[in-house]
This record gives sequence, C-alpha cells and structure tokens, in this order.
Amino acid sequence: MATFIAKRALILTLTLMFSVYMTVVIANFGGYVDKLLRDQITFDVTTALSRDPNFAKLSQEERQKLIEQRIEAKIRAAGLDKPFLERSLIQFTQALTLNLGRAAFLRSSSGSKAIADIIMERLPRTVLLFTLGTIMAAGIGIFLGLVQARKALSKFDRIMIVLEIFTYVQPAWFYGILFILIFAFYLRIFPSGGMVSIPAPTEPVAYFLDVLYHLALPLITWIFASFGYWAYTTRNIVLQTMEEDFVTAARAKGLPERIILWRYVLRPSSPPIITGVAFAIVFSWTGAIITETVFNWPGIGLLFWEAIAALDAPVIIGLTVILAYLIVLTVLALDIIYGILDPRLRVMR
Amino acid sequence: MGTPPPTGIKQILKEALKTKTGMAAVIILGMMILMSASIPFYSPVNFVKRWNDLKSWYEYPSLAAPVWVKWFTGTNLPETIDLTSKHFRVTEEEISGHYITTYTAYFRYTYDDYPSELKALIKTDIKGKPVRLNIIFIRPDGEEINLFNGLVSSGQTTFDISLDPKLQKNIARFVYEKTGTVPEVIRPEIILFSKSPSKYGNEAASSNVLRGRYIVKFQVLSDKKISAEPRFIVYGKVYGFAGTDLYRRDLWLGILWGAPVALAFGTVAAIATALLQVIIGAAGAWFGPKWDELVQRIADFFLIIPVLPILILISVIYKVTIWSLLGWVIVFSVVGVSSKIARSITFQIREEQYIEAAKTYGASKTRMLFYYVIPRIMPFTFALVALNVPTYIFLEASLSFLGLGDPELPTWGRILGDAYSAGALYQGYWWWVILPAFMIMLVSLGFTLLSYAFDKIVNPRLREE
Amino acid sequence: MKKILVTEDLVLYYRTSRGPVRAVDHVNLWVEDGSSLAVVGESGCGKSSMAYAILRILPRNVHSYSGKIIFDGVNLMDLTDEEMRSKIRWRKISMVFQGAMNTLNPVIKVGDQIIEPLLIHAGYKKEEALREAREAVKNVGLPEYVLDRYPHELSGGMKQRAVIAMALLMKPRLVILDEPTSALDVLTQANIMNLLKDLKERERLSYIFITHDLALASELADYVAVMYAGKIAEIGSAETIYKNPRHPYTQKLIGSVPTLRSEKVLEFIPGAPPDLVNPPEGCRFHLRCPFAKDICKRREPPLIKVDNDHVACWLYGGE
Repeated sequence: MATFIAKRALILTLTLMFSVYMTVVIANFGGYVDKLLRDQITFDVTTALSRDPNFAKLSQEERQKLIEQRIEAKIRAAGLDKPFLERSLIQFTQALTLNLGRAAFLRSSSGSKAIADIIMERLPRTVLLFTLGTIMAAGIGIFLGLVQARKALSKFDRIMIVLEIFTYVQPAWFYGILFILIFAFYLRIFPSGGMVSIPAPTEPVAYFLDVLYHLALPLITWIFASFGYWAYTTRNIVLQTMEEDFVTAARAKGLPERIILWRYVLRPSSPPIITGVAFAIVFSWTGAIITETVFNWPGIGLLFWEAIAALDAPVIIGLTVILAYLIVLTVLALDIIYGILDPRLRVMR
Repeated sequence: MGTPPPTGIKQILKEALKTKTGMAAVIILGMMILMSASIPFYSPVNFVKRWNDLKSWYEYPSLAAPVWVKWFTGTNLPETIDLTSKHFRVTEEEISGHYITTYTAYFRYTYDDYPSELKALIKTDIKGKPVRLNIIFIRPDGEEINLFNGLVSSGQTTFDISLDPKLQKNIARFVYEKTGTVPEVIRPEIILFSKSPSKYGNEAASSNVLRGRYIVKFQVLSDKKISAEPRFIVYGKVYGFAGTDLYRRDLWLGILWGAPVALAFGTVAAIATALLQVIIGAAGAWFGPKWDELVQRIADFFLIIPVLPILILISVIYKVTIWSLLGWVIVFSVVGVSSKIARSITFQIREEQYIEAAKTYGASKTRMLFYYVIPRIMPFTFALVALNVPTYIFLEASLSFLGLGDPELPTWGRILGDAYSAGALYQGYWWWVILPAFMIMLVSLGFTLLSYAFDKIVNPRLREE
Repeated sequence: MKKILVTEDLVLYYRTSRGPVRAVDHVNLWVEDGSSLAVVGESGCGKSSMAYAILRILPRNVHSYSGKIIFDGVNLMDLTDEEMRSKIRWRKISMVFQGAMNTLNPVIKVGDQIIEPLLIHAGYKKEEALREAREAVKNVGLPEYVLDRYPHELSGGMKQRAVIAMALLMKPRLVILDEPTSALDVLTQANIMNLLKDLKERERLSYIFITHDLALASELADYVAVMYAGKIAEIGSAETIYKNPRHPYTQKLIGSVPTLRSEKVLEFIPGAPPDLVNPPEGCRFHLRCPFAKDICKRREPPLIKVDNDHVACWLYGGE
C-alpha cells in the first residue's frame, strides 16, 4: 500500500511540476509579460521623475540619460535582463513553492496586492459553491442511478438516460444564462448575480440568509448540469456489478436484498465511482471559471476572468498553479481512497 | 445467446437508423446539415466580413425581436419601413437662379406600436459649397414638423433623429405647442407617431398610436442642379426569424452561420481526438509493457492539466483562430477515455488466435496494429465520439463566450457572449439568448440521441431486450 | 430409497428480443437421497438454468417459470420468495458455481464471506461462526489463514475449495455443483473431485453435479441425467448410462469421449446444437439423429421407463 501511494505521489508531483512550468512558459513566451513589465517600469520611472522638481532643471540629454539609467536599474532589479530560460526557472520555482508574488493590477478587497491574499480571500467562496454543488449533485445522481439500475431498461430508465447525457453535455454556464433569464429576469424569484445584495446586510443571520439567497440559483444551475454524470455512471457501474457472478452467488446464499445491495453491489462498485469523483472534481474546478463569471460570483473563477481582462499575468499564473495543486492533491487523495476500497489494487500496483 | 454485435462502420450506421433514437438523431442532424448547406443560397457572400463590419448594418433595427412574436402577443408590432430613393418622387423648381428640388415620399403606418428609431439620410454629389436642406415630416393629422433645416455638404449625411439632440428642438417645440410643457426626455419616434404626445414625451400606450398616411419631404435649395438620394428609415421593433442584436445584425444569419462552424469544429475535433487516442492507447498495449507504462503516465498527466484555464491563457496571450484552437484542443486531448477503451480491447485481441497466425506469416507488428487491431476498436468508440462532438462545440463556445475565440467567425458562443455583455439577460432581450441557445441544444440533442443509438448497438448490455 | 428432490414439468423460459428462450422445457428429474446425479449435456442446453430454476434465482427477463419442485416432501414452488430465501437457500440447498474466479466478492475477505450465511440464517455470533469456518476450510484441505485473505490472493484451486467449504457450512441436504472444476487445471481438478467424493461419504450429501464433461461426471455420479435442448433425453443409473446408453444422443456422447491410449474411433455428432428460441418440432434431436422416424418429427417423446432407465425416445415404444 505504501509503495502504491509513494509511486502515485511521485508521478503526480512530476505532473504538477510540468504543468506549472508549462504555464510559466506560455505566459511568458511571447515576450508578452516582459513587454508588460518593461512598459510598466518605463512608465513608473518617467512619471516619478517628472514629478521631481529637480528633474526639470536638467538638460535634455541629462534627463534622457537619467531615465535610461533608472530604467536599467529597475530592470536589473526585477531580473528582466536575465535570459529567458533562467528567468522562467526562477518563476517556476517561485510558483511551485507557492511564492506567488504580487499582482500587477488587481487588489484584494482589503487593498493588498499580494496574490496570496487575493486568492485566499476568494477561494472559500468557490469552494462553498462548487463543493456543495458537486456533493449535492453526486448525492442526487447516485441515488437516481441506483433507482435506474433497479428498473433497468424500463421506460423511466431509458428516458432518464437520454436526459442525463443531454444535461451533462451542456456546460453549467449555458444553463446559467438561461436560468438567469428565466428565474431572475422573468420570474424574479432569484437575484441575477453576485454573492450578496448591495448594500449587504450587516447582521450575521441576515447576511447568512442573503448569501444563501444568492447562492441558490448558481447552486441549482451547477447541480442541474452535473447530476446526469453521476446518475448515468452509477447506473452503468451498478448494472454491470449486478450481473457479476458473485452477486448471483450471494442470492443463492439466501442473503437478504439489503445486504446484497450494500456489500455485493455498492461496495465493489464504489472504486470506479470514486474515479468518477476525481474526474468530477477536476472538472468542477475548471468549469467554475465561466459559471462564476456568468453569475458574478466572487470566487477564484471570476478572479481568473478579471485577471484576464486586466491582463494581470502574475495573477493568472498564480491561479493556474493553485488550480494545478488542488487538482493534484484531490487526485492523490482519491487514489488513496481507491486503494483502500479496492484491495486488489494494493497487491497489484 | 443473442446475435453478435455488428462490426464495420456501415453496418453500425444501418443498425443505428433502425432504432427510434437513431432515426430521431439523424433527422435532427440532417436538418442541421441542410441548414448549413443552404447557406450559400441564402446569405451574402462576404458574410463573415459583414458580421464584423458594424457599419454595414445601419439599415436594420437594433434589438428587434423576431417577427413571429407578433402572432404570439397579438399586437401588430412595427416592422421597418425603409423609404429609399425610389420611393421618393422628385419635383424641381427653379426660382431666379436657385433650384429647389423636393423629394416626397409617403407611407402608411398601421401598426399597434411606435417605431424604435428614426433616421434620415441623404447622399449628394454637389461640387462646391454646401447646400441647404429641409426635412419635413407631415403627420396624418396634418401637423408638420421641420426635422432639420441646415446645410449639408457632398457625400452621405446621416441624421439620427432619435438620438441626436440637435435635431430634436423642433420636436420639443411641437410637444410644447400641444401640451404646454417642454418634456425632459424627447423620444421622437414616439412623439411623432402619437395622437397626443404626453408631456413626458415618451409615453408608449399603443392606443395612442397615430395611424394613417405620413409624408416625408426632403427639400434641397442650391445654385446648381443637383441630384440627391434621400432615404428615410422608420425602424421597426421586429425583424426576421431571430431578431437583431444590439449592433443591428440579423441574428438569423448569425445563427445560420454558426451551424457549419459548430458542426465542423465539433466533428473534426471529436473524430481526430478519438483516432489519436485509440492509436496511442492501442499502441501502448500492443507494443509491450514499457510502452504501456509510458502511455499510462502520459494519460495521468493529461488528466491533471487544467485544460480550460490553459486554453484561456493561450487565447488571451496569443490570439487564436478557430483552426489554431482546434489544434490546441487536439493536442490536449491526445490521451483520454478512448485510449483506455482501446487499451483494454487490444489486450484481449492480443490473445487471439489469428493474430498468432498472422505473426507466423511475417506481418510486421505495426501493420497488424493498423490493419487488424484498430479497425476492431473503432466501433466501440462511436458512442463516445458522438457525445464528444457537442462537448467540443461547447468548448469552443465557452471560449467564444468569453470573447476569446476566433475574432471573426460568428459562432454561437460568440453571439451568446455578445448577448451577455450587452446585458441581454437583465434587460429581457430573450431572443438574443434563447434562439442561439436553442440551436446549440438541438445539436446537442441530436448527438446525444446518436450516441445513445450507437451505444445500444455496440454495448451488449443494453442490447438484450 | 427416498428421493430428496423431484421436479415435475419444470419450466423456465427467458424473454429476449428474438422471442422466449426455452432453457428448461418441462423437465422431470429426481435425485435419490445420499446420491449424486450428474446432469450432462452440451453448452447452452439449459443445465445451469435448471440449477437456477431449482433455487429460484431468476434474472429480470423471465418469461415463464412453473412446474413442481418437490424437495424433501415440500413443493418449493408453493413457498414465498422470503421463505425460499430464509429457509431453503443455503440451509437446505446450496450451490457451488461455475468459475469460482468470480463467485467470491472481490472486496470482502474470504472468511467474512464464508461465515455470512451463519450470521444471517442461524444467528451465530462472529466468534462462533469463525470457529465453524475454520473447521470447514480444514475439512476441504485449506489452511486457516485463507480466511483472512482476499479472493484475488488465492489460487484457483484454493478459491474453489473455499467455495465448496462455504457451500457445506450449513450442512445442507443437497448441493448443486455447476461445472465446479471447468476453470481448473487437470491436477487440481482431480484433487477437487476426490474432495467431493470424500465429503459425500462423510457428510451424507446429495449432489446435483452439472457438467459438459462426461468423463468427469463418471467419477462422481451415481445417476446421470442427459439434457438436450432444454429437455431430459435420458436419465438413469451411472452403470446404465455409461455401459448401455439407450438414447441416440447419449450413445453419441459416450462415443465421443476419448479413452486414454486406446484405438477408439471418436464419434462426433453432425449438425449444431439447436436454437432454444425455435427448437425443432417433435423430438428435439431428430435433425441430428441417425435413427429418426416419422413420428420423431411430429411429436415429442415422453420419458419412457426401460428397466432402470428412463429414455425420451420413440425407439423405445410408447406410441
């Protein structure tokens, strides 16, 4: 078991490192970020100097020289003069160790420019919405899948399959815009976006309820878009398990249905369903981006979008790195759970 | 017990057509393809360019609902009345060396609601100094309002009657004369067409619409003989099958054009990625445990990469076209579910007898892989491929929605993105959202049903019964 | 001798898209108490289905299920599902399945699976049950540590022994064995057969031993029932069937068994096994039978008693 975990951890770490490095390279390769930072420096230097009363007293040439000197110094300080490879490796190690630095343009609501602050402020909101949503979708979906497995090939089953696949294929943001139009604009049941009303209530209970009120529509949207996956995969896995010989053998042993369901159908089915969880969680992190944007939900998805709009490369890199970390940790945790659930794996791997 | 699953692509397609779902899928997708194929007969040739050239849409109403809305709401919503130069009769007078050319046109307004906008245009080819122009608007009740009295120079001049405050002075005066107050907000398209303009100048009671014969006159005073092309547009509130967007573009054409783009992108991406995945998965299992390990590692790796964020990153920094996007998507999907399927089937096939036999007569391993193994795997991926088409369509739509996709093509995602940015959701421009969404859903449904039909055929579990 | 099990007109048809599959088609057979009945036939002739029919383990797509199954004087068909489950299954009749590879739940320890019936049907405490289990596995020649292992950690032979131990744990009267050794190598097969013989003596069990392997059946059978296309072709004592088979199908079967190092000319039966959805009219075997008469094509023969044998063949009278 230990070797299994160690092996997986190693592979995942390598993958993580590669993803991070690739992100850094992509973000920098066109010389894009460089140019951005250089322009920023030039601008800063020029404006700073032009405010200095002594500056105007210098001659044209002297001014020019001074500007260039200052710019050079700043560039060297920021390490922009080093070759690309070296710089990318520095950024890479920084990103990997989660030393995410400071944002170019964005700020947290407390005014901090530290990317860590900005991200930490928003991360819990995303977790709230999407983890809750995924868990609820899983619960509903798995239950539905079980019902379908029992009534396999009935009309109910067949219609549900098409419905499940259909709803799953379409992304949450798609339902988001439709639901906002229907429920927020026409029926006026739910607010059309944001996490709290403006102005937000100050009293804790009212605040809590306000958040819940704003949470409702995105949550419903998310559940609607994801339950199909759970239902369909559960149905299939359970059906397949139900046809296994050991289930027939369990029946022959005269075991009651309840025990057959739990020990002989669900328990062996759970490892492949767990892999589904991994997939769903990975998916939910990335799906969050557009869904949050559509609902104006102030989580890291929306942050991603804002960073793109503001072309704030350090934030984008930071976010992608955090995302990569989250995904890797989730997958590792699930691999461990899978190993616990399926004893066959511990020996073979 | 039971018949063996059919092999061969043609056989599977035939079987698929026999089922109800298969039939439904083919019908839906057939419609889509027909739609796409009909485009050349339908829309202007340089449509893509036109879509992006906002100026070329000036004669369409902005944010107009689809025409068929009329039948559902019962009100006779106005359609655009475009008085082009051929609608105008010309009379010329010469008075002591000056020419007065009068262009007169009339129209009957019988709708139940006010127009959305008014515009007057004139195109002249005068050489030398500008000439004087008078635009006169005559209502059925005889009231005459002078919309413009001033100088125009050569070329095309546009008068945004609804938007330009400078043109609204006379209209304000008209309201004042009628009601005794000067309204704060002047909506010419309402005032000029209402029986009794309210003192607010913007009332919109349909019972108040003045129906009848309206006359528009363009009077040009000049030194020399001139020729001019006047135009007067009374913009409606409905247009076409799908309405128009904020930028006046005919949404039906946009939606129509979205179909082939979506279908092409989705299908090519789905098939290409399936092929690649199958080849890689099968090759890994075929050539031995070391290769298999390698492929597994690569698969793990790809599972973890957050594809969408990286695609977004690439789109922002490097600006993608639909083709480069396709390329990136394929690169990121090189290993996936289909490679797992391919792998397990390949393992089974390895054990089989005739493969042993082929080895004995000297067929190379690679040849065997491509001739025997991979064709047998392909049918099992059909259901997945069918399902992946809409997935990729949505991937492209997601990027376009954010404004990051191909900057020129009018894809459905882009239309939705435009709608969202323009606040269509919060202002009730439902046709801008629901119609493109409906199209995407239709395509999704078609492929979902197709996938279901394929799955029934290839997957024995669902076959019995 | 008393008969522990008698089936009368047992019917089990499955529903499929091509029509009903007549897997068990009015089957009459019996098992003498303390003896073993081998049920032999080609693959797909309905042997396993018969076992399921006796225990009422039915799949979702059942078309017909009827007849009488008289076990120890009680007609099992009269019992409710719950009675079947709690009183009959495993306590009175147990089953050893084909391919033990998959009969054990892969995610539960072997020991836990073995003691399950004790805990559920007999209300044992876990300690006592484990004690019994240890005895049981020793009885089948397995070491005790097997109880602590997962199925995938045991070899094929060990798994099969474990499954046998599990089947005997509640001391049933009748054990149905469905191809218990088909997935094992010859040596292990021999070991298991010896074990079964041994247990039969010691515990006074009755067996229904289902197999397609005639030679194997001869090791253990006191009686033999030959099935063809869902029906019993011949049923009689092992002596009779092996030495003096009467039904043409049985004769062919016996003739097709290779004998070690002899000059025997192996016979084979031309044609293919019949389709259970559309079986031939009249006697199911008539299309492949060298002795087919006119009546064989039109009417199904009943089981005709000839000395100690019962044959479903018009050759033996009964017209």
